[in-house]
Amino acid sequence: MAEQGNRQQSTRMVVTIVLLVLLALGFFAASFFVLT
Amino acid sequence: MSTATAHDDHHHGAPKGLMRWVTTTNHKDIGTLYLLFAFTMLLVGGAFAMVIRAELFQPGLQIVDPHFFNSMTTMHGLIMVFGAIMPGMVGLANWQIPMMIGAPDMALPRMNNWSFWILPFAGTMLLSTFFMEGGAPAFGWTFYAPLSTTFAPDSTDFFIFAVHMLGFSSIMGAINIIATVLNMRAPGMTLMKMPLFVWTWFITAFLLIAVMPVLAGAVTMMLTDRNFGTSFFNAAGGGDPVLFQHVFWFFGHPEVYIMILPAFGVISEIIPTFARKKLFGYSSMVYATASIAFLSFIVYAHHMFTTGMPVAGELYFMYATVLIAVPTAVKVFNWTATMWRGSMTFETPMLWAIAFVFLFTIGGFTGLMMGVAPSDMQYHDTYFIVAHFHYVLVTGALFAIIAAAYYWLPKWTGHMVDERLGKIHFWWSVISVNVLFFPQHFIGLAGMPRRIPDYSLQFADWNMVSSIGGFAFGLAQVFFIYVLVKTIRGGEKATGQVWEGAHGLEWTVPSPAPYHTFETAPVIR
Repeated sequence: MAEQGNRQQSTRMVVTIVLLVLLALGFFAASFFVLT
Repeated sequence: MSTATAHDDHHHGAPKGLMRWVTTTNHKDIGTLYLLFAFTMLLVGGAFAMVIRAELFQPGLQIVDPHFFNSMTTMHGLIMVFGAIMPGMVGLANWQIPMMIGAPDMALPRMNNWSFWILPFAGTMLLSTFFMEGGAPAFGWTFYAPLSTTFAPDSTDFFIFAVHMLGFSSIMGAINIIATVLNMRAPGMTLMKMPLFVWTWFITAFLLIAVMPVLAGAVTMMLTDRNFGTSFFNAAGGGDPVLFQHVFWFFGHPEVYIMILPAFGVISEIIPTFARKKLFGYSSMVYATASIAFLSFIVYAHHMFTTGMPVAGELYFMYATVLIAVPTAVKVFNWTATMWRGSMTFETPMLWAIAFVFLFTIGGFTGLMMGVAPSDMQYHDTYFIVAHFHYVLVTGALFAIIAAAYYWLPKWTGHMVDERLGKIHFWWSVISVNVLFFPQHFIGLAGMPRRIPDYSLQFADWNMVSSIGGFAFGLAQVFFIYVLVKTIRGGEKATGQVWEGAHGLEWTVPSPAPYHTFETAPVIR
């Protein structure tokens, strides 16, 4: 990992993870909104 | 056990002792932990199934009281889905995905450790409900409200917390897999060069991220309905119990594909190896997997045909459901076409894979029958349903995990599996599993409801046959323990290549796979 990594790659990694977490939170929230 | 994965290599080997397993961030160690956990849960859930089949051996109440019987069906389902099949697939993903894409490990190794170590606690919490006042949850694995809210035992709150934890673990695991596949592929490993197993898991991970939070939403609403005076699912307070089914099945239907898509991936690895041909229609396999994943979101209410939805709704969900047969048939066709005129040999993994193709297809066809709304009115809540989903999940998902174990065990342990024992296990299982589940089609069509401890006399004969098959199948899996232990402890040394027709990066490393692989990325041309 350390050998392979560079700043660009870790930025991409962080963006990937943030987007995926937001997706999960979005679906969690949406499950409540279907009620209204 | 530690001999299975503890190897010297030029960097450093595995640490020694118990703390190796508690603190490990190594994808192979974590894969092993997942697989061991899954197998343990398979035996626990299997023991519950034995109780169910023993009670149903004859009509009348013989062994357990009805509430406990309901707890057995509930916990059998929950343990098998969340404890055995899903962690089993995640275990395979942990072991194989980094090796198959030429990555040194998963993208988020510490989170990987956390994802796993949540599971034993969640599983223990779920099982601990048996010892609580009022007994374990007994409302079925689908935990429909109001049975799971107004009329459920106190232990249900522990069940809810366990589901929250299991879901959290799955979401973290899915994020890890997507981050790994998107960011850690070796140079030259383009998306359309990835092995099918990686592709199917990649797509499955998106399904997990989309639907596990919805499951968390459903149980959170149950929690507040039970304890904080809300009325999401309580008609008396302005809520709607049928709403629970909508939320649950929005999770529940994709969940089925979460369990079966990685199985498709496994089969797509094994068949080309033993047919000694490239997989027929690689790109169509990828698109078919993506199509099945997409369709899984828009068909869920076919589980609810009998709730009294408008005819237009029934028609839509019926047509959308039947549409899934198209990409699924693409897959079955491609596997068959891969075998066509191949130089086939029938080593143990191949036998399991071929059995998968036949028996999963039976489960698929009965699924089509139930997808047709008017006929589903007949099948709904009968043993026909039980037969259907066991063909999909046992001879489908479980057979694929077992096939994968036989296929990759030489890579994991460095030892070839004793072919004779593997074949005994295969034939024993494949015969008994059909004796177990095929008659359930008959008693279901004849009208026997599911989830009952007692039944009318006319169902007696086939229930007895089914139970005999059940005991035999259970025993076959105990025999599997012997095969596994024997392979881990010793046996013929495996080469790096292992199987003559095997292709892919995992077969370029020695067997057993070193503790660290691909620290320098391989280049794929």
